[in-house]
Amino acid sequence: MSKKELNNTGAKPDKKLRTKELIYAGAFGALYIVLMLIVVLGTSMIPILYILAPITVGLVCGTVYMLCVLKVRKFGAALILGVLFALTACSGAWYSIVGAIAAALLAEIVIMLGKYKSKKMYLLSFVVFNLNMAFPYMRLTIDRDAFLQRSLEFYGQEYADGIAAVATDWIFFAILGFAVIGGIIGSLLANVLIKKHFTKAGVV
Amino acid sequence: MIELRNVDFHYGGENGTGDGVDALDLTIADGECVVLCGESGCGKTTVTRLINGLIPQFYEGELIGEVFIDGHNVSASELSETAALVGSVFQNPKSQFFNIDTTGELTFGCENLGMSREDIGRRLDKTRRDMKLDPLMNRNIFELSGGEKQQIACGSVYATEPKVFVMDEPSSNLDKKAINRLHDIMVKMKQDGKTIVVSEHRIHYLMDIADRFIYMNDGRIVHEYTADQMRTLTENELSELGLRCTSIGNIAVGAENAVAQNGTPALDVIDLSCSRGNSRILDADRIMFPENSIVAVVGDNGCGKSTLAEALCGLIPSDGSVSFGGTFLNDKQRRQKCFMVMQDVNRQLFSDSVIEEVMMNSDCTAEEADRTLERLGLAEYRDRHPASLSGGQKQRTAIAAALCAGKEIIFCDEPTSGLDRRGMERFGELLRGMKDKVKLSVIITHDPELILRCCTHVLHMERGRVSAFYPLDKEGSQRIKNYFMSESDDTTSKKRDHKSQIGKILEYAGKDRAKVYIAAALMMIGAAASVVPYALVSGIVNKVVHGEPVTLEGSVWVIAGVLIAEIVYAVFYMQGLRVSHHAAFGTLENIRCILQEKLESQPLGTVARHSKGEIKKLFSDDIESIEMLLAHMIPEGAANLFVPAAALIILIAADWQLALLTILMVFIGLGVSRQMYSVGMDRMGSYFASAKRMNNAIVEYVNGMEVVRVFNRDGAASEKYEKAVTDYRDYALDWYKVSWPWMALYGSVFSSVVMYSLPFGALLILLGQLDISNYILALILSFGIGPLLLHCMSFIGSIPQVSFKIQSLEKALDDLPLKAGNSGFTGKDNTVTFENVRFAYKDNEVIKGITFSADEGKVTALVGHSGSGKSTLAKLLVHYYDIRSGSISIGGQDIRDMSQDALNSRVAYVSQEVFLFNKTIMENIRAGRKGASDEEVIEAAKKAECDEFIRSLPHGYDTPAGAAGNMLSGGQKQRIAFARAILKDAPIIILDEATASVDAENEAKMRRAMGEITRGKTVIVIAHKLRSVKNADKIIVLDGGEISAEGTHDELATSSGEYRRLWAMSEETHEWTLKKEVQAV
Amino acid sequence: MDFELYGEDKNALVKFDPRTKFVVFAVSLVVSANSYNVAALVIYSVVLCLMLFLCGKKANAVKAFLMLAFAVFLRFSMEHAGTGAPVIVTIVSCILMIFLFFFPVMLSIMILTQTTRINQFLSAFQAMHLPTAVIIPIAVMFRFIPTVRDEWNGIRKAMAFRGISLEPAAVIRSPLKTIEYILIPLLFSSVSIMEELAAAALARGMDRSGKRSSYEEIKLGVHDYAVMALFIGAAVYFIVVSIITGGTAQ
Repeated sequence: MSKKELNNTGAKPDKKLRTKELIYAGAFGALYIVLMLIVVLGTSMIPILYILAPITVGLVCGTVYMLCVLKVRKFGAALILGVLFALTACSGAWYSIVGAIAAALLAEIVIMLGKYKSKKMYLLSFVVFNLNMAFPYMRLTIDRDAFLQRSLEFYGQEYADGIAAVATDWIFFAILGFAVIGGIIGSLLANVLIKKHFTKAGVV
Repeated sequence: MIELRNVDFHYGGENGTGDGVDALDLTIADGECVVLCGESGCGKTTVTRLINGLIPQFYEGELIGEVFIDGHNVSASELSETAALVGSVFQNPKSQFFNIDTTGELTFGCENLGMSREDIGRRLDKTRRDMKLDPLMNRNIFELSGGEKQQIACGSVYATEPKVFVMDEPSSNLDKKAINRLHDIMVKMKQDGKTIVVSEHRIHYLMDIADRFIYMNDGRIVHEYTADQMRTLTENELSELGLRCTSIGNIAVGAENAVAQNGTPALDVIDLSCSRGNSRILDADRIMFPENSIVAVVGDNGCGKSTLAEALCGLIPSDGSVSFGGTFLNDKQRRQKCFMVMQDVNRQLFSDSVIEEVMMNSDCTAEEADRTLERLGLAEYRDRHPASLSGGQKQRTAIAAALCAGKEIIFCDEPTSGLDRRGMERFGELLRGMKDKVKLSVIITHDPELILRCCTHVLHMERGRVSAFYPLDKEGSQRIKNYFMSESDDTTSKKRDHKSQIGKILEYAGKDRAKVYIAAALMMIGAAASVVPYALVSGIVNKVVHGEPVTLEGSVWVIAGVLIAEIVYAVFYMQGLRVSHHAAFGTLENIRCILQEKLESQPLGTVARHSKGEIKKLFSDDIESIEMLLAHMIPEGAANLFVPAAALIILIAADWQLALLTILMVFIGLGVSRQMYSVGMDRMGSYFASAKRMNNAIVEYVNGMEVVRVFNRDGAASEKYEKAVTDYRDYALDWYKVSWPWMALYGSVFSSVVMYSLPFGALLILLGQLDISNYILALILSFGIGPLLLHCMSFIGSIPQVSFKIQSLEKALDDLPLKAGNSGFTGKDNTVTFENVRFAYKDNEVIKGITFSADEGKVTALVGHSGSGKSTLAKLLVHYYDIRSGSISIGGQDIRDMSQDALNSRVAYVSQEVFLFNKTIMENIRAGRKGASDEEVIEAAKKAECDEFIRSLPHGYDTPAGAAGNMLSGGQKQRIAFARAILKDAPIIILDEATASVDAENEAKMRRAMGEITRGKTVIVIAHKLRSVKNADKIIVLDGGEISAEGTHDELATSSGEYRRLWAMSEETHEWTLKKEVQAV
Repeated sequence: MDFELYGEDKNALVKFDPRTKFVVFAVSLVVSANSYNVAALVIYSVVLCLMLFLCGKKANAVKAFLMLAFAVFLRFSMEHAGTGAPVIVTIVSCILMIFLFFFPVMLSIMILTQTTRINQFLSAFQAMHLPTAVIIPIAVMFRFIPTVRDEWNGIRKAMAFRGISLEPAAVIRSPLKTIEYILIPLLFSSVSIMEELAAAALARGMDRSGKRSSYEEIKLGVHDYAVMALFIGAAVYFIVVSIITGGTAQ
């Protein structure tokens, strides 16, 4: 009758992502993407809301992200979410994909800095993560330059000027700003919801 | 061999609850089947997790002791190693599978273990064969029912060929059929010598598989029972242990459930129907739920129970009318008055504390809420988060919320699927307690114990239709018990039909499909030709506008062109129409043939249930009405689409702005007409239903005129007729009223393209953008395509109509086909045996477990009051209907094995009503046996004592029976029926009240005829006149669907009171004469 | 919203390996970014339609082709006519250009998703030696999306009874409350489902450190190589042409 204590709380934690956590990350990824698509497709009727999508999505998906990283508490949760997001939302422009993944990586670093325990760092990490919402728009900006080039050949100067007036350089930075705002609001909401429900129920 | 050595485990980690198991010492031998039972929370699931290694690898906590499987230490090894030894099946079918397709899921386990492709292929095949998974291969798992998903889960585990199978409450979400299948799978596993460990609440289906039952309580093993010991436990003992019943037959019926019947029904449903995609999934004619009742809705998975509940609650759109307590309510209003506790309670909890959840969005005060929580036993959990409660507690929270919100009608979807006995009892008590506070409770359930404990009525659904509704009195209880104990059919869920409506119609076209395409092509050419004149003429107009002189010589070519084009149009269009009508009639022929085959395969009883008017209407009128639509719709539709499209292309070349504008207008117009049709579609269902009712009323009125006039019931009958007609008018007007605004909109604003092109074009001309000649071309072209577009619109509307009609046709003949086999007669003799036969007709159970046999060569008589089931038994023998349970066999062979032909050649059925075909009498008698010679017919007629009167007819045997039928009396027709039976010479004869319509003079003749028929055969006689069966070898007395007594006349006269009564009554009527009556007075 | 994730290739005339389709997708991206020649773009798009047709989705291929033809024809007439108010011209030509430039990418995504089964994807990923840390989440994501949709539907129905309305007016009035009402049940039930899913998968040996075999056979055939060569060649052509011509339109 040997006394064996396996996987006891307080034992040395396993740093690598095990299959169980990969499955969780994938499932949360599905949740994140479905919610994001619902929000974006639902609000894109109103053009102004389409540009504000980083805020609306950040608001809704913040909790999903937070729950995911809190449940897994290892390096890679946010990264997997980011990769899944990049593959579905940014496919079409390699720079968008790279940008989104970079945002996720940064978020991971933030969490790591908090040694997987600090609540504040988790919240901050979402602000960084939400930057990924800006990258699908990047394609429009960058492609717009190429677009301008082509239109120049086809329709002449006035036309090109007209387009140029609409698409400005700073729109991308504005969108980045929206993403930051969305991240902040989203993580605040996530904090409230998680404390109110998930900690109380003992899930996290 | 599985060993648990002094195992101690408590859940810990971050979500730990501290529960667990203590001091477990258990050994399970190879090939043994062990069932772990006990109340919820006793630790059964923990033991299964210990065996399959999920503890401690997945579920964290403190583990002391070890678990060994064949010497292999499970607790210390990796899950993947244990997985090769142990296969696990879990409780929830929905969350177990990892893949989306079934084949992938079946190979999942093997792939994980790294087996080679050939190996996997071989195992896949074996699993498919052993588990009969053929209909489930290569399908989308999300489309399967719960039971089928569980089958795939078992298959996936079976394919890895482990030594041990561990199952955690595998039956909790399954219906009766699926549980039977699960049982069979487990039998197979046991045959293969595998060890099975099952943790279960519902132990009744395991009684014949289990070797040991291990009862656990509070984390410890308390007692072990063998299967026999388990069976002998009484209801009280089981209740004490907290275990569910061991056999459904033993379930005690709850306290006499008061059945309130009168008054307005709480819920009244008329003609409710729902469609998903292109097919109808629910079709309820009439259901009336009494007030203050608790109704259980039962039926197999996929039969439409949840759909019915959701439609009644107003959650999903539906046609038809639903009224609560007399007032008709629409969807939104129903939603406000109802509440549904869903199967997945997790989806219904929104707040962070129980009290908040209960008070949310309702007007009740905190005190009221607290009182409700008290009543439901939740007071101590007031401030807990709902997600931390157990399943049963979550449900009660949802119900508390419903009560506080003042809902009148409560629906529950599978409330007790995972609950143990106490949980189920508590829920039953809760329902009964609520009975007077809510108007109605509807429970969808597979749990017979719950039904018998607390429900007052049962609603039985089958394939989207209501098949019975009965109260749970003593009879009803027996009936529902039998339902749960009986064998089930083997139907599986069908692959979802993704075919479009046009695709369906083309499918019926069959080989005529090519003709449809040819017709379309011809018409396209014709339609194209019809537009050409416009283009040509525009050339002329152009010249005029530009001031050039127009001369006859110059325009000769144009005129010639126009002429040719018109001729081409006429010729091709007409040819196209001709071909398409051919194709349409061909399609109708196919539809009629298919329907006829369907009709043939159905039990006679079901066919008889449809009135003649209905079937006639189906086959001639309804199908006919499709013809016009079919012939014109597809080819003309195609042509009328193609040509405007081509014209638009030309328009684009001419002036693209105008073209774009036109396209925009056309699209808006399309949108408008689509809106019109979608709005109309809602009403269409009700409209067609009322048309059907009106038709029935008309047929009934005309048919019954004779009776109506004689008995002076004219008023009531014509009232009914009038109401049906006015109803129809109302529904039709309703439909039109909804469509009118859109039609008006369309007709006025969109039908004329010119309305836009004219001003806009003028504008463009003024702006110098447009050239006049192009403009003229554009204008004239739009004249040409205008009517074509209009044509097109009307045809788009007819597509859903045709599809709807075809669907109704299919649905009308969609009842279950007769369960007939294919083999010939292989029985050893001609003894007829009925074995525990049960049969119900609509809401009444007519035959309640009858067992008897009619021996070869003997006469067996069935007697009893009207309605005791005599005729029904006879009809069941000739497979008029399919029985619910039990079996009927001839010489040991079940009649369901025989083909219809084989059965019919064994049995001759002579009934009261004689049907004469519209042929000669010779042919009519010959109908008894095809191919009989004239001499044989006459011989049979002589034996049946009808030779005399036949010869006295105008043309003797060649008299057409139609004309003769009016001249023949009942007795004479009866003897012709005898002649048929004699000619047929079948070994078994059924005489169903055959002497009923006979007068005394002919009775002697009849008796001789009967003697002829029954010589040496197995005879079953059904009679009212007991005197005529006095000498039967065996008399069976039926009373209310059951056998009350059996024996010869003498035996029964002494032993059976019922028989004596019947005899007395029969004698009385026999001796009844006018004179006696007068004397009595 | 119906995510039809169950792509199938039962009707395919030619069965292409998913890796080939990936290559096609990548090439389409390159072509989209680098083409200045509308004619070449159109030819490329037509070839894609043909490929979609071969892969089994005939109806869709025909529809796509018709749309393409219509767009090209419209553009051609516009250019030819040379008339039109500047505003309309701008809008319409803008739309057309966007359509034409995104057409190859959309079509190659269609080829990828509508004609490939999930299992084929996963086998392809494995054959491409992607790490399991990537393959498993993607597989789970595919499998979980229909579940989320089901849960979402169920929650919507539950909300209807509780008087929580989803109409835009109500949402705008109290957005945070609505989000809470949607997220909480969704997350709770999803968490419980994913835990059961993980337990079931692990109990069937998913965690094995050894290599996972695959019943689905993914092999590159001759037609795959041919197509890949063709497309890569096209990509090279486009890049070279764009560099040489330096952006002058034809």
